[in-house]
This record gives sequence, structure tokens and C-alpha cells, in this order.
Amino acid sequence: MTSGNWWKKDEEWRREEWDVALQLSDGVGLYRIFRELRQNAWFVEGLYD
Amino acid sequence: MQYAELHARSAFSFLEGASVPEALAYACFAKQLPAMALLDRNGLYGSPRFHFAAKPNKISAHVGAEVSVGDTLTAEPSYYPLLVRDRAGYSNLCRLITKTKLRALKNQTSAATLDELEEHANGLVCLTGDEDGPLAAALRIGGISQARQLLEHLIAIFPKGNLYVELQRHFRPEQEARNHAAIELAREFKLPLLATNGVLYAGPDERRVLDALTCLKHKCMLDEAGRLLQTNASRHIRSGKEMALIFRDLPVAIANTAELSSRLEFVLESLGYEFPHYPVPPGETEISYLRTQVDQGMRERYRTITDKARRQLERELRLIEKLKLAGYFLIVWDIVRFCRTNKILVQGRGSAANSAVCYSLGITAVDPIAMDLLFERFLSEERGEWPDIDLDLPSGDERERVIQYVYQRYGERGAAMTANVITFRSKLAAREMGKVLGFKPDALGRLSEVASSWEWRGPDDNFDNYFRKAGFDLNHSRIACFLELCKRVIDLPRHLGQHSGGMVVCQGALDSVVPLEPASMPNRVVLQWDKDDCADLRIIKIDLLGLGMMAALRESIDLIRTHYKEEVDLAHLSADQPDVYDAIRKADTVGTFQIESRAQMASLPRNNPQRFYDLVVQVALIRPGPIVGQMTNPYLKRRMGKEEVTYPHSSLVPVLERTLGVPLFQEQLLRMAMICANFSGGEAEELRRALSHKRSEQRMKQIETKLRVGMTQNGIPPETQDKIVQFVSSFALYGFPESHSASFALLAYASAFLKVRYLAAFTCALLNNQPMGFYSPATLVKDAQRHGLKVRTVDVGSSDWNCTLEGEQDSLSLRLGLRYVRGLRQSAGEALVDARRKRPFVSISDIAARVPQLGQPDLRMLATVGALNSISTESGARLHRRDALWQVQKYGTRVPPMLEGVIEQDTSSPLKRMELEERLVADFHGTGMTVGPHPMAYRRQQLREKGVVSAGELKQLWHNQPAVVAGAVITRQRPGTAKGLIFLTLEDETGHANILVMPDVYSGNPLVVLRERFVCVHGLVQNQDGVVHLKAEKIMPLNVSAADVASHDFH
Repeated sequence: MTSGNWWKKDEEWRREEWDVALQLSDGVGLYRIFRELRQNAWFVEGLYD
Repeated sequence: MQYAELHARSAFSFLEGASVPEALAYACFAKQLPAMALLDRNGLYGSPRFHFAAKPNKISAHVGAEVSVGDTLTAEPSYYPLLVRDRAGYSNLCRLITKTKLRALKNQTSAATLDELEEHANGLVCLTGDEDGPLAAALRIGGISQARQLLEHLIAIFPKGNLYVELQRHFRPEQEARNHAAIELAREFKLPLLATNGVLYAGPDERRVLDALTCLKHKCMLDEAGRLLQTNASRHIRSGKEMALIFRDLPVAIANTAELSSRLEFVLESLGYEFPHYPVPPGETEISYLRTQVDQGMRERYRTITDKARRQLERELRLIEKLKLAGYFLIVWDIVRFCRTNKILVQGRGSAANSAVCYSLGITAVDPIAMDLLFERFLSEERGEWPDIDLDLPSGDERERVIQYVYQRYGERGAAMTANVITFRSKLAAREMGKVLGFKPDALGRLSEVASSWEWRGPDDNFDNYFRKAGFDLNHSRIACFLELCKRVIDLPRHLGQHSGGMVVCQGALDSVVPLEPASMPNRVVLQWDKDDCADLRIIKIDLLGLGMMAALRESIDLIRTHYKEEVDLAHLSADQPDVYDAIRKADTVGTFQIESRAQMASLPRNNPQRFYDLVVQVALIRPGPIVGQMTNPYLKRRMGKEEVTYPHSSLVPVLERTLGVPLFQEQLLRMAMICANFSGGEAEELRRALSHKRSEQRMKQIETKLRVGMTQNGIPPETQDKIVQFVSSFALYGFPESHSASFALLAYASAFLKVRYLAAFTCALLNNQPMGFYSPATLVKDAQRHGLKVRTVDVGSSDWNCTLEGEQDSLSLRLGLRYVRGLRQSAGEALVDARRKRPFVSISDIAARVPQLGQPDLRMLATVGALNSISTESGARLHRRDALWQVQKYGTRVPPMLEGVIEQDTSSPLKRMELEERLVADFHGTGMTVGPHPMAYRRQQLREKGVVSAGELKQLWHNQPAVVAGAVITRQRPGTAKGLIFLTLEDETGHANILVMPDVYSGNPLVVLRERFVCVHGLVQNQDGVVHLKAEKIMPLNVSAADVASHDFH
């Protein structure tokens, strides 16, 4: 759980963050995904090398 | 499962925690936690407050600290959470913190070494810490192998279950990775795990406050703070259930908290504090030695010793012996003796003046037996607390000598000053929170201006209104944030200051009782608790208070000896001289102690003091207690014979007779309870304390019941009981001790005596000991001039650093000192005086050459205020200020080597002399005053034509007569007790005029009242009982002079 920019109405964010491992055809992929709680929408933030 | 929170920081970690200890204790109560350990950074600052908030809520308040330790294994210092297990551990923790702190400069961090940690580890339990702890640091630097090395080391320091591997879960991936490593290591080393929440604030909402404080700490704005801020709001007090859920995979880490909590047996009340013993000669005990000193002192004080005096002394000595306080009295006596030996004026104040032992020992100057003062107010068996002795000393160097004597006598670690916690108030909160949110300085300046700092607060004095008045739109989200932060930080500690004079001394070492640290003043050590914490923990302190008036009295006596060839002995001053009382009755008291304020002056003609006891009453009369308790006016009416003297009950006549049936003193309250309700002396004092601060409704009810039961037993009818209960409860909050009043009255009389008999010496001493008192130096000078004293301007040819007296005994004049030249450093001023003493100055170039400490700004300022006018030009003419300014342009900068030692003759300039107005502006700008005519004197003719009367003439007008008066505003006051009324004092060449400004007149044009230096006031004269005010109807700015006349504003 992270949150920030609470002092800016338009830029305030609150997230639930997960690092997830996915079984892919060529191995395992490790991703950082998050749910933006204000929009209740999931996003992929990045991929671990 | 029971969970105890064993790692929490409060706002006493100064910008690294966001809640006061009480808020944490209440949150523990709300979340049903049985125990919490407060581990503030490098200190036990918040421990007493946490202890006393937790205790009534049945929460165990564990003691500890996060101590910064630097070592090679973690590269940078990291914070070791240390928990106190027993008293040995507590002493070790205090000593470890003290050792670290005392080697650092004020406000600089310093860390303990691992060796020091080892040396002080006994009785302490160590946790491996959070992200700032040693384990995280070791993992960061050298991975698991470095962490292993660290744990091996720590196991050696904290063996047998005194080292715990700490786990915190704030939903952060990097933290969880660290936890995995920590769990592995704990298994490997067979160390117990311990779950904590690393609490930094009571509830999740305070995370914002912590973010703002973090920015203050790092001197940045929220917008640029990035990773310095909290990633979420999870470091708050959590219930056992929440923590068990978070650590559901590791129940043992939760169970261990309860187990460890049960092993932490130390509580803050078992501090081991002991007041030092006094070294007595062989064959003597402390009490026998005290008896000898009291006996000797008694013979000096009381020329004939009455049975009453003997009985009282014996009673006091027996109680002192019983309470084992003889050492304390001897130590205070020793300090007083040091003062006497070194010719330092000293006078005990406060409740100590109720004690005949203190009087005999020379600690106090008022005879409590002659004045029939109540000993129980000072010391009682029932109260079970230390007595409080305050010593007034001349402020400045002499007080410092006494403080250093105490340090020297008890050692650097045996004595310290109490701390003073500086908290966020409105203006500071607005300024600092605005800064972190990135508001511009001008907007913050507006807010700061409207944020009220008057003592009186109306319903509009709140942050919402300040923001509106400063033009902020509260619907704007960032402004709403700003407002919220301001409200939340109010009362949080900001940093540690130093109490004005409380000294704590301890048998053995004070640093094993409380951590000590360096104060901002060199050679001073301060302890980490304030005076209330010390009182709560029964740590005895001696207040060594600096009083400007004591320094002025001492200097007056020296000046009188030198210039009047007379010896004044304040200890044997008979307080009965009619000319002194004449002046006091006329309120001719500018510059005197305690009876010079506007409110005091307004009551002096009504109280009409004729003898010393009237002055004792006078000092106590103008206080919030009697005013709020509505005792002041009834007393004055009775004094003037306008109201009948009555008593609530006939049994109270002996108690209230001296104050005409109106209770004015705390001692009277005590006696009332003793007589009406059969309270013992100790019980009565307990009643006063219960009502005085931190009063609770429940306690009030209990006391009222007890009072009523006693009064009923004594046959006092219910309606009289109501009256007495009302007297007691309304008065206890603010009442002033009669003994304290008597001590102050002595100083008030002495100062009035010196003013009446030795005006030149007294004024000179006052000017050399500023700041003090109610009026600015400019007002003191004008008042002295109206009394016939000649005051001469600053002159490099005659002035010393201090003000001095010139001439013969019957024609003394006062020469202003160089200390009044704005910006001039004392070292430069003294260098000038030294050079002049070798030989007089012949030119400005001579001054510049012989006093290189004077920079060009100094020379310019001396020229501006006319201090160089006595230097002659080549032709022998005197320089005027512009001539001098013209000349000094050449000097005060580096002299080329070829020209060194060359003395040039000053020549006059082609410039015109300064005009009158320019000289006035220069005088006020450069010295804060003028010794020439008052600025109003130059406008008198014009003002008279407009129907404006002078301050002197105003006093002759009838009650309710319309009048217009004008003058320089010299004081502004809005007392907390005056329902929003503002009092202004205007000064002109004839004296002072008092102006009453009602709230509606003020709100019509607040800036004229607050800012204008000269005003013209239309209003109605209030002339009653010889006291004259003008009740303002209209206040207008007046264009008299651009001179920067200073006003003393009391907020």
C-alpha cells in the first residue's frame, strides 16, 4: 500500500502494489502491478529484468 | 493474543515523530494495548509525560530510546532501539545518552561507539531496529555476511535473551525482503523475533503531520521531498488484533512482545533521585548544623526573640528534620552565603518567604512571623513533595557566577538547568507549515500579521479566521491542507530551550537520573525534562532567577556610593518614608518594580498606599486572579470607603481583616478552608494545588463536598457555604501568595525609594540594565527629564560603554553610554573608551586610526547621532552631524600602508546642518530616544490651536467632558482579563495620557491602533478617584515626525 501527494488535490494517489510472477512460455516474468484506489483500476508499472 | 507495542516514537523525537506522548497513550487505551515503550531519538524527553498519561489508563509505560551508535559494521551511525529492563539499565541509558550528547555541540548530532554501548549495556534490551536500525544498515552495506558479523557482536554485548530481531510490516517490498533475511538470521542465531509497528504517530491521519515535519527537518518543501516522505500511513498505534493479523504467519513474534513487556520491570517513578547531602563539620549532623545556622541567623534577624518566633522556628525545624530536608536548606543557604560573600544581591521569593527558617538563614527578606504568614503554604507533611525555593538574583553576569558556582560545587554531571520545551504556537505553525507547502513569504507575512498574539483572545481568534483575514480561499485544496496542518501541529514540541533558571542538583550523578545535554549558552548543561516533569517526578529544583531590577538596584547602590558619597543598605531599609509613599500615591512610578504598569498606576491613587502592607496588597491586586475573581474593585471601593466592609462569616474576620473582607492571597484561601471546614494546613494546601492547575471536574466536586461537610459541622449556613465555595474555587486558579507579594513589595519600595532620593543613579542603573520593566529607555529618559534630571547625549569624548553620571552631587547629570548606539559592538565601544583614556581624541581621523575596531557603519552611526560633534575642526569650530558624516566617509576601511599613522585634521564640509526633524529621526533611529525636547513639543502650538490638550491638562478635566489628546504611542496592551479592551499610553512633553479603546472602536480601524506611532484621540474623559482615562471615540493617525518612536506592546 502506498500513497502520496496528499497536499495536491489533482495529483494525490493511493495504490495497492503487488510484485507478481507470471509463468510465460519462455520462463518466468516478474512484474510490478498496482491498483489505483481512487479509480479502482489496475495498471502494470514495470517489468523486472 | 496480547500484543505490546515496544517501539514507538513521539513528537519528542523533534521532527521525527508526530504525536505528543499523551496522544499515544490515549491511542493505546483506545486500541486496548496493555503496554507501550516510548523510544524517542537520543532522549527521554517525552517519558515523564507518557508515564503520567499511561498510568491512570492502566497502560505499562516502558522506558527506552533509539540511541545513535556509529561503528565500522554499519558505516554510518544507526539507531539502536534500547529498552530499559531495570534501574541499572535506566542509569546506563541516561549515562550513555549524556556521554554522547555532551561531546557534541548544541543541535549537532553525535553518536555513541560500540564500545560505549557495551560499557552501558547492563539492564538494557536491544532490538535490531527498523530501516534506520543496525541490522538494516548492515544488510544494505555488506549483505547477509555483514549482518551475521553484526549479530555476533551484538550477542556478545546483549547476551541471554536481551537481543531481539525486530520485524515491522508496513506493506513495502524492500522491508519484506529485509524481514526474510532477518527471520533467517534469527533462526541461525537462535534469537527471538519481535513484532513492532515502529509507531511514529497515534493515528493514520498524523502521517501528514510527520511528512510536513520531515520537510522541516530536511529544509525542503513537500513538492521536492520525494522519498524522504512516508510511503503510506501505516506507522500508527495498532490493536493486538490488527498486529496478529499482519503477523499471522509469525505468531511467536507477537507472543514475544507480551513476554518481553513482562520482563521490563522498570517504571519511571523509581528513578533513584536523591538530593545531595551537605558536607557538615565533624561531629555535626545536617540537622544539628542547620539548627546552629538558624540560631545564629535568628539572633541577627530578630533583635528580641519572641516566644512566638521561637515556637515557629522549632516547629519548622522539627518538620524539616522529619522530612529529612535539612540538607536542602543548607544547600540553599550555601548558595545565599556565596552571594553575600561575593556581594551579589539575592532575595528568596515565592512560598519560601512563609518560612521563619528561610528568613533566619537570610534566604528571604520578609519576616513571616511579623507578617503572620502561613508556613503550610511552603511546606507540609501531608503534601509529600519537595518545597520550592526561588532565588532572585541580578540578571546578567552575577547570576551566571552563581550558576557556575553550583556547577562547580556539584560537578558537570551533578547539576543541570531544567529544559523548556518550545512548542508550535500560531505564528510559528503558520510560518513553518506555509514554508513546506511552498507559500510565498509575503502571503505568510500577511497571515503572521493577522494571527493574534494578544493575550486576550476573542471568539474570532482562530486559524480559520486568520486565514480568511489574510485573504486565503479556504476552498482551495492546498490552502485547506495548510489550515489543517497548522491546526494539527499546534502544541507539538519544536525544540528544546532552557528554563529561565531552574537548577537541579543530585547526590552522586544527575546523569544517571536523567540524560543531560549542552545548552546553547557555553558552560551550561541542561537536562531533558522541563520544570513540570521534574515536579511530577519529585525532583527538587532551585530556581535561580535573573531579575533586571536586582541588577539595577545593585548598580544604583554602587553609583550612590561613588557620586553621592552615601551608603544605602537595602537589607535595612525602613519601608516607612513619607516622601516615597507620596510619590507612589501619585502614581509617579515609571521605572519602579511591579508598580509601574498602566494598570498598577491606575489603581495606586485608589489604593492610596500609606505603609508597607498596603504595597504588599498593591502588588497582588493587579493580577489576573483578583481581577477575574472580581476582588480588585470591591477591595478598592472598600479602601476608599465607598463600600461597607463585610465578611462572609464572622469566623473569617481574623483571616480577611487585613484585606478588608476581600480574599486576595492564596494564604487566605488556605486559612479559610482551615477555619471554616477544619482542614489541616497540609490538606488546605492540597486543596489549592488541586484547584490551581490541571483541575478536573471530579476533583473539584470531591473538594467541594469535603468543604461543605466541614462547614456544616461548624454550623455555617448553606447560603454562606455557597459564597465561600465560590470564593475558593474562583480564586484558587490565579491567587498570588502573600509571601511572594511581600518579597516583591520590598523591591517595589526599594526602587521607589531610589527613584525619589537618587534619581540620577537610579535612572542610570535602569538604562544600563535594559531590557526590563514596562517602558522603553526613551520613556524612562523623558520621565527623568521631567523630574529635573539633565540627560546628555552620546559623545565619543565623554561617553563610556555604559551610561554614567557626570558632575557634582548636587548637580549630577546623566551621560548616555555608547551601548545606546545602534549596531555598535561592545568590544568596539570599549576599545574606543580605552583609547580615549590614554589620550583624548583630536580628530575623526585620530579616532579611526586609534580604534580600528570601528567599521565605517559604526563611524557613520556615531556621526548620525551627533556623538562626534565634540570633535573640533582645523579652525577650532565644532563639527555638526553632517560635517562628521562627510568626514567619516574616508575612514573605517583599510588604510594603505603608506598612510598608516597619518592623522588628518578634520575640515568642515560644504553640507548644511541637519534640520530639527532630521535630527529627531536620526536620534530615534540611532539611539532609540532623544535627549532633546519631546517630538510633541514642537507641534504644541499647532495642536493647541486645534483644541488638542496635553497629557498634563487632560488630568485637570472633568468626568465625561469631551476632549482631544495626542501623543506618541508608548505602550499597547490587550489584557486577557479586560474583555477585549485595548489600553494605549500616549506620551507627550508633559507626561502620559491613558486611552481606553473599546472593541468596536478598535475593529473600526485596527491598523491605526496597532501601527501608528503618533495618534490623535477624540473621546470622553473618565476622571474617577483621581484616575484619568480618555475613552476613545475616534483615533486618527497624526503626522508629527518620522522618528521611529518605539512602543512596548504587551501581547
